[in-house]
Amino acid sequence: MNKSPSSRQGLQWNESCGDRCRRVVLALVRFGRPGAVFLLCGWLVLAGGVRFESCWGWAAAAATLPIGAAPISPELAALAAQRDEGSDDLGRQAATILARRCIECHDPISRAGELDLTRRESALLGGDSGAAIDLGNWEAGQMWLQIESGNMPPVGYPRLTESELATLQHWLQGGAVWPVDAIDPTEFGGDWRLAPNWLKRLTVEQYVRSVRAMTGVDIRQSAVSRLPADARADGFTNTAYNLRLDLDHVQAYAGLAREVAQQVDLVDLWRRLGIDARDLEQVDTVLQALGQAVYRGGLSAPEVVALRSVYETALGEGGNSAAGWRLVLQSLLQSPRFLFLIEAANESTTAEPVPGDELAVRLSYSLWGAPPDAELWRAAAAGELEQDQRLRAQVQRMLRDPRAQTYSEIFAHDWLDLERLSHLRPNRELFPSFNPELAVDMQRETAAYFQHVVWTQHRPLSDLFTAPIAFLTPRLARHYGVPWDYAAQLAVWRGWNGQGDARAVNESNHAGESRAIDSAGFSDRALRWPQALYVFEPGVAQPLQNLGLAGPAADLETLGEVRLDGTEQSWQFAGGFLRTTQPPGLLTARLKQQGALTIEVVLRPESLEQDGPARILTISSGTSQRNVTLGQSQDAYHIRCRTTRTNDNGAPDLQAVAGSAQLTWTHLVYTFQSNGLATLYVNGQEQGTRQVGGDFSNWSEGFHLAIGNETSGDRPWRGWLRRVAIYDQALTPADLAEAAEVLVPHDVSQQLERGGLLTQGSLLTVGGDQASMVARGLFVMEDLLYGKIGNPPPCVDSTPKPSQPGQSQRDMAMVRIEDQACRSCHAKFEPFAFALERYDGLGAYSRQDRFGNDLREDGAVQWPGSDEVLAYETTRELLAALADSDRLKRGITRKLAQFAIGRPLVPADGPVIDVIHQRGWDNGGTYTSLMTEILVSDLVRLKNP
Amino acid sequence: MPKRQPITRRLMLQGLGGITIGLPWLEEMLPAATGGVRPTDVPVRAFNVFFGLGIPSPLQQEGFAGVLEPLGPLADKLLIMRGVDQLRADEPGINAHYDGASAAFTAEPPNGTARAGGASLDQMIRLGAYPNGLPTGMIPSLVAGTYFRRMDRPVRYIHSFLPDGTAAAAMQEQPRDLFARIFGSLEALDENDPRHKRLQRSVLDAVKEQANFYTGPRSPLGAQSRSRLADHLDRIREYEQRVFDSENAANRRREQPPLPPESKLLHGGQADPGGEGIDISVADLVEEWRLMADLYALAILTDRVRFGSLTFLAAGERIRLKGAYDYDGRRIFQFDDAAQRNSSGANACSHEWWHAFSESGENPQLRAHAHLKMREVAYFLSLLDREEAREANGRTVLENSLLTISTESGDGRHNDVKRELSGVFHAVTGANGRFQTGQILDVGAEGLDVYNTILGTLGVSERLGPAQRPSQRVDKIIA
Repeated sequence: MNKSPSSRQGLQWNESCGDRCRRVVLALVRFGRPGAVFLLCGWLVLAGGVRFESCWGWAAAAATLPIGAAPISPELAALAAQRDEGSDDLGRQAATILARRCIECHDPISRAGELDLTRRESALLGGDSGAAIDLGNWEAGQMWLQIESGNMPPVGYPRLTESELATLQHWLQGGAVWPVDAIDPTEFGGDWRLAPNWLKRLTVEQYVRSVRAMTGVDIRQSAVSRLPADARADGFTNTAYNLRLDLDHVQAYAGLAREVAQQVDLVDLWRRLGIDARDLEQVDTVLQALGQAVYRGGLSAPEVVALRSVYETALGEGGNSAAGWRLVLQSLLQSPRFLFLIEAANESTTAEPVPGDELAVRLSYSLWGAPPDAELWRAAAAGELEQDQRLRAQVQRMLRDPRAQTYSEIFAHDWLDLERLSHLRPNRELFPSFNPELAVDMQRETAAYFQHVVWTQHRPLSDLFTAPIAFLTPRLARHYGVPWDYAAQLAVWRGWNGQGDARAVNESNHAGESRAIDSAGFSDRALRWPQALYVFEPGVAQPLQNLGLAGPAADLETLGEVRLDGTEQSWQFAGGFLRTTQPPGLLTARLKQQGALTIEVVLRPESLEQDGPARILTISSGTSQRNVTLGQSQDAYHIRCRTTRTNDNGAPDLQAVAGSAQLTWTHLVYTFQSNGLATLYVNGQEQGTRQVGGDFSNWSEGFHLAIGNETSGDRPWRGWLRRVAIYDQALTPADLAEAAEVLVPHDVSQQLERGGLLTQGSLLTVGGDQASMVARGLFVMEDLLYGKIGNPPPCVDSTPKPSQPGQSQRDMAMVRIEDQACRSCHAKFEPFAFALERYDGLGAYSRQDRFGNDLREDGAVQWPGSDEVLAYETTRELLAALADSDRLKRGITRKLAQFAIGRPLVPADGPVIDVIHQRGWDNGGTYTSLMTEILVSDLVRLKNP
Repeated sequence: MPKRQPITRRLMLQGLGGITIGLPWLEEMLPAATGGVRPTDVPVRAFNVFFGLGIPSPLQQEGFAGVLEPLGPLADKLLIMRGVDQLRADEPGINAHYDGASAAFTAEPPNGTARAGGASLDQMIRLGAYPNGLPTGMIPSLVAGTYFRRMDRPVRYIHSFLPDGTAAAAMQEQPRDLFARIFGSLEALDENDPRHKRLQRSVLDAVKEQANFYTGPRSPLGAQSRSRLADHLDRIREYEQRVFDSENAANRRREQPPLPPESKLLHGGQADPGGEGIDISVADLVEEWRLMADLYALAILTDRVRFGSLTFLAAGERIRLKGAYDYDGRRIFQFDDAAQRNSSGANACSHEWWHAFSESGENPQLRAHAHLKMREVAYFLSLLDREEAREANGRTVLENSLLTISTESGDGRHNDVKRELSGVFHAVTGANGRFQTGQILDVGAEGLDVYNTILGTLGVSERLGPAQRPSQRVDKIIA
């Protein structure tokens, strides 16, 4: 938005004026008169009709130069020095024009007309039409001839403006100095103004964390349901410009404030604030303490008065002191100073150091998404944050805090757009077995993998693309085609939980690898393991091993006809049954000890006529003495569970409603809580409940366990089983769903198709149902390698097309790459997706697609801006090359920096990013080392005008 | 086409709306009640109406005989502009759906994935006409619409932007949300518990006091931060009015209005499953569109809102439509995108008809989709042109307001940026006699010049676009 033309009559402006003006600006800055720069620029804009952006760019650049004794960091001084060189601004302006207008076609990959304009030497070398630049006669160079005549940019692309032509003319006249070794369109594509300081509203996550830090109240559930979700903008949900606030927010904040005020434990709150109960009568003192905590800074006198009024209103209405403080808290939690990270404006014309208290807030919200702790406030008050080493020490202390680890999950979630998986709904015809839980498993896999690589192993972030470990649930393992070995997983699980192993670990082929997995960083909240676990899958040997914690005493031998049904992927019970060879004493003892129980069975009855009840599972000594028996009586499931309140046969029974048993696959769950409440669930729905009472102290440890019949063999059940589990606690079906899909690390160093983010379903699904190489390649190019790709060229329909007989996705990609019109872009990014060709739209691996087309994993890529070709034979080779490339590392640096400061990077950030990148990767390239360099850099320490 | 009666203000008051919503306190929302205008004044209003996927230039040439047919009955109230060029909004590296969507009403390319390149027409006019804010109780800007494709790019469906390029208000994408935003879902504090009310009042007073300070002349904040907090303060005041207004509260308690029916459509992330598109029936889509149109129009007619935008599908929308479409007693088309495209997922979406557009072909599916959207846009406009929408100067709200109707593209094929962003359909209403209406003009001008001409004609001194670019007034659109 600018003034209308009528306000800009006066001096005629031309580019030579601009050149003179630029020199004046730089001279004024050199002599410490930045204010004069802005006066000059303002006058020129108002009186002379000067292009505002042009002046602003210089003024903004000037604003970052060191003035007098201002404590500007070395990085900024370097930037200033760089910009203070006479031709550099012109070079940057020219580079910006080239990046925007020319390099899409004239880069090392596209080389339209065999011309590469990213580097000076290649431009001097020229292309098919000769040298692009003639240093002896600037007007004779092909670049000028083509753009001046209007031949370039070609038809279909906007013409260069007069201003752009004039800039390039001056630049060519001045010797065409490239400002950098190679012009990167990503870094030069924007303008050079410093990024504005957007006021930041707390994200939902930050709101929850802030409330918890200040009051001890966990308001997450309410906050997530009441507050509008923060939308992702420029890749992250904490992008400040997008954190607006609307009526829904105001309403939600009011309700949440009331909730927090009701829930807060005032005694605990005073303790947190260091307020002695005897001091509570010192109202202003308490207000100051509360204000410091909630507002992240002291209260002004009017604020004290306003809040005191709130407190007194409560007392005046008959409330006590506690009521008054709760009301004050409500007010504080709805106030702008809590809801926004408020900083005073930088009124100067230069980038200024951020004051200590504001810097403390920047640091804590970047790292923890939460307010500073006492130590950080102390350091800020003591002026320590202004000293490099002390600041660095504080940042490293904060990185050791668990809050840094948990907040980093937000970075990974946003960066990799894991939220997308919450809405994944692939075509049912193509993916009939997909269910939303699989997408959740993919999310969990990537989150756990990130935590493991970043925080457990403290590996460089580039290792996220190569670490040979996968965190899989049984469901995800099936989807990936990775063998799921329960015995191995039990060993791993025991390792995490520090339990002695009842079964020799070396029973598992994978046990040795599993032991190598450090458990400390793994935090699957749903982790539970049953005491008895039987999985009726193809390939499971007989006798059937108990995969639960109660060990081999609960292994089962087969009696009679029990057979594998490959069609149903289950075992069929056709008269025979399974029984323990000895009483499962440990199992019974643990159930007795806990006084609680869950039996979970995945089954399909063969008939609705069987009765007795027909025994599905029992721990008993015959038809009249039992601990517990789960059975089927015609079309209803039936349970008898002995307690101190029942007879020896477990009567009275609990029977589910008629019709609960059907001839379909069913998830059947019986729970007995320690308070005596028994419940039967069928497919997650409660189908019967009874307050039985009593406990299991009268259970016999001498009874056998049998499946498919009574232990005495005279109450057979006919049907199919896939899974039986017995837990020593009462779990809900939802708990069980998670427990059944426990997330377990797998060493995949020998399974070459897995290992690294790009082999995980969460990222492979970016290609959509058709496993689009365009979408996957663009993800690698733009989100990982910060490359810039132009619009779809002529004759291209951008909707992903399915493969067909004789034409795989790669074949289609090759058509695009070989097409003269398309190759300028597609050759840049699609080859990165070649390595992922064997993964279908949901990330399953195969060597042929559904049309029988052979799928490959080899290819050749070029890093953005590079003319080197890297050929690879396997997916792993490409992933290793990616992880080793500076381009990927720089991409990670940039993403992390963006997340830390809550705004997209702009070209003016480039020099600071360079410093962060170099130091961060020199120090290991870990989350910790990179975050440290970001937080001690001028991106965080300086406030733009 | 289901037969239903639009919700008029009168019908709403009588609880007779075609959908069962009733607003017994609406009388209190009459223009005079807002304190905004005198009964004889005609307030300045500006709204952007956006529809996704566009009308290819060759089809615009057919005038009301083609897909523009539904606008025919309103022809006298509209200036239809052909040949409006948005090419300057092309942003290399960004899908042209996004460029075009951003250009609609701003004439600028996007600036980031969730930010337009500058202010939209309605917001420029709002700031020009009400520099000190709208009358108390009025919704500053109302942004609503029906859309499914979202990705991370709100500019595909939001079409009202502040000068910093951020959305002018949160998007209301369901009838119930829109209803709540306009008429309030907030529970007023109980009059029978005056003590509680006094306590909550004291809390809000302290909050307001702080917000006032930070937006006032002694604020230590920069202009941008102050502006954002001023927005917050506006919302606090709106909240205050809804929660503490005892008079309205009493009315509401007496007869709680029923909400609009639950939306039958997918919303939120569910509506855009990985870009693969969703199945949707003509009946469900039209029902939702009409609910949204009814509510939005009602908000205008009751002077709850004077600025904002209404969206009929996102830019680059991906739906698979199914069902019969009749217009004016005749069958226009039997939609069945998936079957007619003989495909599934994204490839089966109506979006593809635009990519497959052929100047020499019949393009029956594209025509039907575009015709349907024009019918719905016309429906919305007609709600503002009824007798009860007539204002003190004898003109209807439609005639007195500036409604700008546009879209993302002048050609559905992604194969030529110049063609795609040229000839983008535009239409405007007369804005109280300021613009030519009753015509289809071949404007042959940049969107930026058209927009700046509109601003100038409405007396707004600020301009869109880069300052160094000389503005070309498009005189032919001015009355």
